[in-house]
Amino acid sequence: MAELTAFHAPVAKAEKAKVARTSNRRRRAIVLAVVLGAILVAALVAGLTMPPEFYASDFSQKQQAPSAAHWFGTDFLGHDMFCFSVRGLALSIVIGLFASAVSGFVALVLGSVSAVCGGWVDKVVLWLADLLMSIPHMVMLLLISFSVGGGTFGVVLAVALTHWPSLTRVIRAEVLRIRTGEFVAASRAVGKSDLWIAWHHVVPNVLPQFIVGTILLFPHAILHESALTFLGFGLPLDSPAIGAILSSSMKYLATGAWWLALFPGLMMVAIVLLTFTLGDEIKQLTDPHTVQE
Amino acid sequence: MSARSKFIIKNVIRVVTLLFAVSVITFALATMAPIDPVEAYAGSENHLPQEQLDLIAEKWGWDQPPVQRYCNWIGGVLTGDWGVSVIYNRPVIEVVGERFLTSLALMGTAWILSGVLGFVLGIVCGLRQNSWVDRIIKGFCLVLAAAPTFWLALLALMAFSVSLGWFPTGLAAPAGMRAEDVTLAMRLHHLFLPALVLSVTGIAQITLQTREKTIEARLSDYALFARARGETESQFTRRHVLRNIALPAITLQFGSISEIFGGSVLAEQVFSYPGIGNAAVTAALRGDIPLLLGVALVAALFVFVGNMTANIFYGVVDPRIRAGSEAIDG
Amino acid sequence: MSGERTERERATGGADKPACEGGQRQLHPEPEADPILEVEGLFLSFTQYGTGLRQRTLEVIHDLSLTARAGELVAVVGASGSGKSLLAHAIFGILPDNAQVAGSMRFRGQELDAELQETLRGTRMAFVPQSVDYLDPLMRTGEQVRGVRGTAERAREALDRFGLDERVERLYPFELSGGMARRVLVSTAVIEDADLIVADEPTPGMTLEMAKEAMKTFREFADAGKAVVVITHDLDLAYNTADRIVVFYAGQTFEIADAADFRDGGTRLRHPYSRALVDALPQNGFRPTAGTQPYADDLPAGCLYAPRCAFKSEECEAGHPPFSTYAGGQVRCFHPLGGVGAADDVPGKANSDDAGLKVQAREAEQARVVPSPNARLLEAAGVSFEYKKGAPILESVDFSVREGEIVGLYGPSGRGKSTLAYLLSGRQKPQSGVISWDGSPLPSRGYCPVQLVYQHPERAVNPRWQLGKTLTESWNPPRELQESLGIEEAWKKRWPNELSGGELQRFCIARALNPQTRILICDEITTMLDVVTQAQVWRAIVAQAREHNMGVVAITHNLYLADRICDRIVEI
Repeated sequence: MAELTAFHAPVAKAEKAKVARTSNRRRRAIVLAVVLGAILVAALVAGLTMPPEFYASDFSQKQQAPSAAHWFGTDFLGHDMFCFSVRGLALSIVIGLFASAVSGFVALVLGSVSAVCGGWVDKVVLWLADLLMSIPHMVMLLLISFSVGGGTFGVVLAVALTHWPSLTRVIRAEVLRIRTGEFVAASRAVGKSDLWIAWHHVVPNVLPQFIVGTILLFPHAILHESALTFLGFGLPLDSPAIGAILSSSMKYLATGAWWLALFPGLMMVAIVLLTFTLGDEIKQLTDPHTVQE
Repeated sequence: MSARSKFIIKNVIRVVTLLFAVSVITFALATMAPIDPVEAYAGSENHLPQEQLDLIAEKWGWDQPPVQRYCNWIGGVLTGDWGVSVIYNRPVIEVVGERFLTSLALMGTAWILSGVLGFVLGIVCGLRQNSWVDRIIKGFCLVLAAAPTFWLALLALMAFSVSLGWFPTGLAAPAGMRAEDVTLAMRLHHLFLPALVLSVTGIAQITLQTREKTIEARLSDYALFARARGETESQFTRRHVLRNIALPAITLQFGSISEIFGGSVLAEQVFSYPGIGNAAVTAALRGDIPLLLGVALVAALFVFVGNMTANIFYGVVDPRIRAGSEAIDG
Repeated sequence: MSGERTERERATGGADKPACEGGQRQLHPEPEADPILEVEGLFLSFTQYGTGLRQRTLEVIHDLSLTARAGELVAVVGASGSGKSLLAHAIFGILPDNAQVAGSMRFRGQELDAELQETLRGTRMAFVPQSVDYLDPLMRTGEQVRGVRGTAERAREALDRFGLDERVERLYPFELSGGMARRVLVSTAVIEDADLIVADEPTPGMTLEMAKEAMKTFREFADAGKAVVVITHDLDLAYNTADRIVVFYAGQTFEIADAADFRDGGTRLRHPYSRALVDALPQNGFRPTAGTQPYADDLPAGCLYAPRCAFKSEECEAGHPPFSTYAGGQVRCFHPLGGVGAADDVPGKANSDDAGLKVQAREAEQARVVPSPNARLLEAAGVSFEYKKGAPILESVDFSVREGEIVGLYGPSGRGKSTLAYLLSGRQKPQSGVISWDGSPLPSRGYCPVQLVYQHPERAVNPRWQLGKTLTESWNPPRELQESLGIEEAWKKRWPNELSGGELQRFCIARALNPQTRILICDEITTMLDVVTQAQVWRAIVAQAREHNMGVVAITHNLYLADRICDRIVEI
C-alpha cells in the first residue's frame, strides 16, 4: 500500500497513470488466478480420479531417489511419491476449500450481524472472537479435534471453527465504517431504505474484502490441516496426506531419504505462496484507497 | 493518571472474564471427547473388573455430572491442585511447570531472535525499498510465511543434524544422562536448531510489517518537513523512523506469542523436545485429559499475559492513546 | 505598442479600457535589492510506469520563473492542482525520486544544486509547512522545534517570540490547538537564521482576522530583510499583504505583478486569468468563468488558458505564448490586457481592501431576503454537544433558519461549526437541547427536508459507484443545473478516485439540490476550490435555492463570501 504513495504530493493529477497501474495489476492478478486455478484443478482432478494402483505400494521400488520414473522418488513402502503427494494435495485442497468456505461464511454472518445489531450482540461476538484468538491456534485445533475424536471430520471442524475470528473483525469493522460513513448518511437523508442501502452501499464495499479474506483463509486452512495431520490428529497417518507423508518421512530421516520431506512440502509451499500473492493482489486491486493515493 | 489506571483495570477485568471462559471451553471440549477417562487411566488392555473401574471413577470424580466435575476441577486449579496426569502419574502442575520451563528457553530465544532480527531486517528493507536487498529479504519472508513450520523443522533436521551432523537430532539434553550432569553447553547445543527454526518462522511477519511502517514513515509529511529542515537520512531514521515504528513492532511482537506457541508445538514434535507443546500432543494422543487441560490453561494464560502487556504498554507509551480519543471537529 | 491590443479588446467587447504605459511605480522601497532566490524556466516532470514496461513522463511544471528579493514578500497564488506545492519542494530539493527538474534555480546568485540545497536546508532556507501533519506525531514540540540544527535555548526563544510558554514544549502535536500548531510551525522557521522562508498554504481554515495575523508574521520576516515566499490559494489575503504576486495555473506562471495591481477590481492586471480570479472574488464581481484547469496529462496544445479565455485567437490555440515583460509586470499572453493606470477608468468598482467588509453594491438577484414569518423554521434551541467528557464543543447554542433565507455561519475552525451542521441535519443527536423542524423532530425516514453537503466530498460519495449513480441517487438534476454547477458529461462515467475533491463536491451539491430539500446546510463546501469555481458553485446554489424557496445555511470562514451570498450572518 505504501509503495503506491511515492506520488505523495498533490501533483496536478495523474489519473491516467493510476488507471495504467490498475490495469497492470489487474493483468497480474488475472494471470495469477489462472495459474493458481489451473494448478488447483489439475491437482484435484488428478488426485481424486487417480487409479489406486498409481499410489499403491510396490515393494520392488522402495526407497528410491528421484528419477525419471519416480519424479519425487519412492518411500519405504514403495509408494510413488509424486502420485502420493498429488493425491495428498488434492485431499488438502478439498479440506482447505471446505474449511475456508465455512469459516468465511461464519465470519460474514457474525461480522455483519455484529455490526448491524450493535449492543450486546456486538459485544458477544467480539468477546467470542477475542476468546478464540487468545488460545494459541495450535492448542485450539488440538482441543477441537480431540473433542470429536480426531479424524477427517475433526480436522475440518477444527480448521473451520478457528479461522473465523480475524475475518469477522475485518468484516465487522468494514460494515461499521460504511454504515456510519458520510455517503450512507447522505443516502439515508434522501430517503433510501435500509435494505436499499445495504444492497447498494454496504454489499459492494464489503464483498471485495470478504472475498479477499476468504481467499487468504485457504492457505491457512491447508497449513493447519497438514499440521494437525502431522501431529497425528487429522487424516489417518497411512493415508496419502501431506501432513501424514511428512510425519512418516520423519521416521526415515536417518536413512537420508531427503526427497520424502522436500518435495511434498515444496508443493504445499508453492500453493500457499501463490494463494497469498493472489489474495494480496486482489486486495490492492479492489481497495479504492490504494488506487487513490 | 486516572485514565491510565482505568485503562489497566479494564484490561485486567477483560482478561479475568476471558480466562474464565477459556477454562469453561477447554473443559467442555476435553470432556466431550469420545474417550473414557476411566479406560484411559486403567488402560484398555488390562480388563479390570467393573467394580474396580467404578472405584477409579469415584476416586477421580468421573462419575459426577459435568458441571460438578468442572466446579471440582476449577476449584482445584485455583487452589493449586490441577489433578494428576494419567500418563506420567504425577501432579499436572508439576509436569506442566517443568515442561513449560523447558519450552520457555526455546520460545524465549526464538521470540527475542525473531523480534530483533525481524525489526532490523524490516528497517533495512524499508530504507532501501525496491533495492535488491529489499527484494531478496521480502521474497525470503514470503516463502517463510508460506512454509509449514514442521516442514522447515524437518528440513533443518535433515540438513544440519543428519547430513552435516552439527546438531543432535532431538531432545533437550543427551539421552540417558542424569539431569545433574547436563552442562549448559549441552543444553544450548540441543536448543540451537529448534530455536533457529522457530525464530525463522516468526521473522517473516515482523519484518514485513516493520518494512511497511518504515516506508510509511519515509513517505510521510513529517519526513518531508524533516528533510526540508536539513535532516540527513540517518538523522531522520534515528529521530523519527525508530520512534514511529517501535510501537507497532512491539505490539506485534507481543501479539506473536500465540503463533510462537503454536510453532513450538510443531517444532518440539519434530525435535522431540520435551516441552509443553510436546506434552500437549502426547496428552491429546493418549487421552490424558487432566494434563491436556493444564497445558491449555497455561497456554492461554501465557498468550493473555503477552496480549495484555502489549495493550497496556501501548496505552502507557503512546501519548495519543494515553490522552484518550480526541474529538474531531473541522 | 499597445495600440493593436486596445483595438482588439474593444472589438471583443472587453470592459477594460486601453492600458496607459505609465512609469514604473515604486511599491517596495528597494525594488532592486539582492535577489535571494531566482527561478528561471523551471520544468518539473515525473516518470511513471504505465501499462507494461512503458515509461511515461508527466510534466507538471512548465517554464516557471520567479524571483524573491531580500525584504520582499512574494505570494504564489493558484488553484489546487496547479503545482504550487511542488515548486516549494523543488526549491528545497525534497521531491520524490521519480521527479526530474530542468531549468535554473539560483540562491544569492549561486546555482542551487543538490549539494547547495543540502547545505542551505535548515540554515539559510526555511520551510513552513501547511499543517500539524508535518510534525512527527510522537515527538514533543520542544524537540521538534529544536530540530537537528538548533539548541534548546534557540527553541525557547523562538517559541517565546510567538507567545508559547514552556508547557507547549512538552506537548505532542495532537495536543496542540489549531492556533498553537500554526505558531509552532512558524517558530521552526525562526530558529534557523534563514535568508529565504517558503511557506506552503499557511492559512487554511482561518478566519480573515486570524489569517491576517498569520500573514503579519511573514510580513515581519520580510521587513527584517528576509525573502519570503508564501504559497496560497487565498487571493485576497495575498494581495493585501504581499509585495508581488505570482499567478500560477496548470504548472505555469501566467503573471507576475505588483500586489497593488490586484486592487481596485484588478483592472491593471495583464492576464485574462488573473482578471478572472479577481473578478470572481465575492467582494468583487463574484463572476465565474466556464471550464476547469486542465490536468497535467491532458494539456491543451497552445496556451494553457486558451480553452477558457474570452480573448483567445487562433494564435493562442496554436502556440505557447512567451513570458515577457509588459506594462510594469510580467505576463505570459499573446494579447495582454490592462497595465498600469487602467483602474482610473473603471467606475463602480469598489475598493475592496481591508478597509471595510460590506462595501460592494449588490446585484439585484442577490438582494437580501427577509423570509415571511409563516415560512417553516429549522431551529436549534439550547443545544450542547461534547465528543469527550468535560470538553464541550457546543454549549447551549441557539440557531434558526427559515425556508427561503440564506444564513451565513461564520467562524474559525474548531468552534463547532461542523458539529452544529451535523446536529441540524440530524446526523447526530445533541446531548441536551432540541433540534426541531417546523415544530417537530426531524423525520427519521423518507426524504429529510434538511440536507447536508459535507466538507470532505471524497467521503460523501460511494467509492465503488460511478459518479453518474451518485448524481441521480436523490433525483435527476436537470441538465441546466448540472451545467451551472460545472459538471462535465464525461465525469459521470468516472470513479470517485479519478476526480479531484472540487469536482466530486459538485456531485454532492447536485444531489442535495433536490427541490424537496427545504433547508440546505453547506459545511465549508468551497474551501478547497479556487475562487472562480467557488463563484460558479455558489451562484448555482443560490439560484436553485431562490427558485425553490429553499433555506440555506452557508458555513464558512470567508466573511466576504458570507457577506456576498447571505441574507444574514451569525458568528460562532
